[in-house]
Order: sequence, then structure tokens, then C-alpha cells
Amino acid sequence: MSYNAEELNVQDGLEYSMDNVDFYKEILETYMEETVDQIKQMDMYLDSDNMPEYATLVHAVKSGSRLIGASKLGEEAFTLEQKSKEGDAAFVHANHDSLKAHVDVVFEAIKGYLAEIS
Amino acid sequence: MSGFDDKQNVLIACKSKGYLISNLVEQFEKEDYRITQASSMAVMNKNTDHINACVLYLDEELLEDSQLLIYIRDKATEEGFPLFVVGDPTEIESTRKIITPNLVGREFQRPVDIKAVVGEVHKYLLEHVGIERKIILAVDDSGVMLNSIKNWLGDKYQVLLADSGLMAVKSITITRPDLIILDYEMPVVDGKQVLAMIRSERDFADIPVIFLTGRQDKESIMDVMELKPDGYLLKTMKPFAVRQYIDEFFIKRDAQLKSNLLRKSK
Repeated sequence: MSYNAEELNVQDGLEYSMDNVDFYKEILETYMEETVDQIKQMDMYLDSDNMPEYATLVHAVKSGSRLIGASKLGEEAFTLEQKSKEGDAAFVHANHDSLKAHVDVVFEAIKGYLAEIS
Repeated sequence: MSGFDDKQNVLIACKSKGYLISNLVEQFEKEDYRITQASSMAVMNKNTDHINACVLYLDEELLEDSQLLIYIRDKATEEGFPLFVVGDPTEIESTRKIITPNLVGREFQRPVDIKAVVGEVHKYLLEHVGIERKIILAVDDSGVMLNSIKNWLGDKYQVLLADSGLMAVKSITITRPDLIILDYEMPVVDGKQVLAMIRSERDFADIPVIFLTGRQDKESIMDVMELKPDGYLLKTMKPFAVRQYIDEFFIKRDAQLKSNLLRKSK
């Protein structure tokens, strides 16, 4: 296996894609494009300490991650969602980079999986 | 009687009664269609059901009944259902004086395999008559979620997508959906605001709305339910559970609409 299966549970992701591999591939690509955009916006909202908008975006990252089978990243996003909803900007500032690094790890796993099946 | 179940109505215009016609009816019924056989104007006049497709099973007698053919042609033009013509090449050719080609979905030249004819009509209706399927508008700021919903429900329902609350409101004014699946948490205009907008417009107030929420705790669900949506789906639900929920929702709603209509007619 050429990808990190702990970060990308393909079985879970395929279940949400109704076992349609082609659809799963499309969803993984949509996920990567969308998450890059969401992270950029989160960076911006973090700079202005806008916790409600940050919460909405990290909530979307959480849902998307769970749907593709990246539940570990989903859990980390969930913690940040909770904290941003509580208005705990200090916690969010301290952990946002870790979330971004985690997103990169998941992206690598996705790329590895896509290379394996192509 | 139609409209309260998933069955589509197929009209078979024919004068003859034989094994092939009975087989045609039987094969359509196996595919879960409701069949009306129209041999005369009298039958057509009694039929008040919405027609989803019409098979013209040609023979000399039917070709001579130009009044019936014209009536079917006008009804097909008015209601937008396709015609399927079964006959010899010369019979098919002679219908063209009345039946315009744009109304014809498929032509089948004799000798025909009845099962294959029904299969082709079924396939055509699935591909072309999506409008007869219930329309669901899915609203979510996540493209991953939207595409997943379409993948889960798209074979049975016509699924329209909106990636923001504002786009949802715009979409509703263009195409009225039978159901809205609405994300609770979205930026700018959230699900709660979209629901309030829908409920405040007289023309849209009765469109059912089901919330899609990632929040499972009792307090959050109580918050969602206070807005009186027609139901809620959890984002953690598996595709088969979502499909089952939506199917059951429509079965219950159709039964409720039917009972309301019956009550009104008494």
C-alpha cells in the first residue's frame, strides 16, 4: 500500500461514495480543491479573530473529511470547531497550524491512493 | 388516482386484442407501470390520469381512426409526454402525416420483441423524463457533501444543488422543489435564515424542509427542531440510511396529501 491508510480509510470513503470508485476519485479531487480554499479563508478569519466564520469553515472541513474517510482529521477539525464556537481564539491560534499540517498529511495520502489506483 | 404512488402511467393506443398486446401490458406492469388501453375516443375522454408515455400499437384500424391519433398527438404536445410507435415500416410512415417526429421517442419496426420494446421505453423514460421524478434541492456550502447527496439520491430523484443560502432562494424561485435538504451551518446566510425566508413567502411556505446537521447532541437537535423543519438528517448517517429516510418521508407525505384531498372532497 503506497498511501497512509490510517489517515485515509478508503473503505469508509467508498461506503459514502456508494462503492463507486470513479465517484470516489472525483470526490477526493473536489475535497482537495475545496479544502485549499477553506484553509485560505480560515487563515484570513483567524487574522481578524473572527471565530464564528472560522467555526463555519472548520465545520465544513470536518464534514468533508469524514465523507472521504479522513476521520482522524475530521476529529481534529471538530475540536477546533468546538473551541471556535466557544470563542476560544487562543486555542484556535495555537492549533490552527497543526490542523494545516494534518491536512497536508491527508492530501499526501489521497495522492498516494490516487496514484495506486491509476 | 395517480400522483399518490410512484407508478407512471403508460397509455397503449391499440385496436387489436391479442397475445402480443396482453404481453405488452404484462411486461409494462412487471416494470411497475400503470397501463390504460385506449381503443377509442370514449376511453380517452374518461381518462383523467396524467400520462407519462403513450405507445401507438399500429394496425390498419388504428391508422383509420385519425380522430384518436390527432387527440393523442395534441395531448402529447400539451402535456409533453413521448410517443412510442410500433408497426410495419409502411404503417409508421403513414402516421407521419399526423404525428410529428419531435413527439416520437422511439420507433419499433415489426417483428418486435415485446420485452425489448418495454425495456427501451423504460430506459427512455428514465433518461428523458426526469421531470416526473420528485425534485430535491440540496443546500450545503460543501461541494463534497452536495455531490455525495446527488450520488446517494440521484438515481431516484432529480437532485438540484445550491452551495449557499442565497443560491437556494434563487433556485426555488426558478424551480419549485418537492423537498429541500438544507445544511444548518453555512456562512453568510445560514440554514435557519433560509428556512425563515422560505416560510415567509406564501408561494413557498409549504415546501417541506429537512435540515442536515452535523450536531448530534440533544440540545442542538432541540434547537433545530424548534424551527419546525419537516425532519432532520445527521451528516454522519450512511448513504443507505439517508435514502431510506427520504423514501419514507415521501411515502408519508404523499399519504398525507392524499388523505387531505379526500377529506376536502367529502
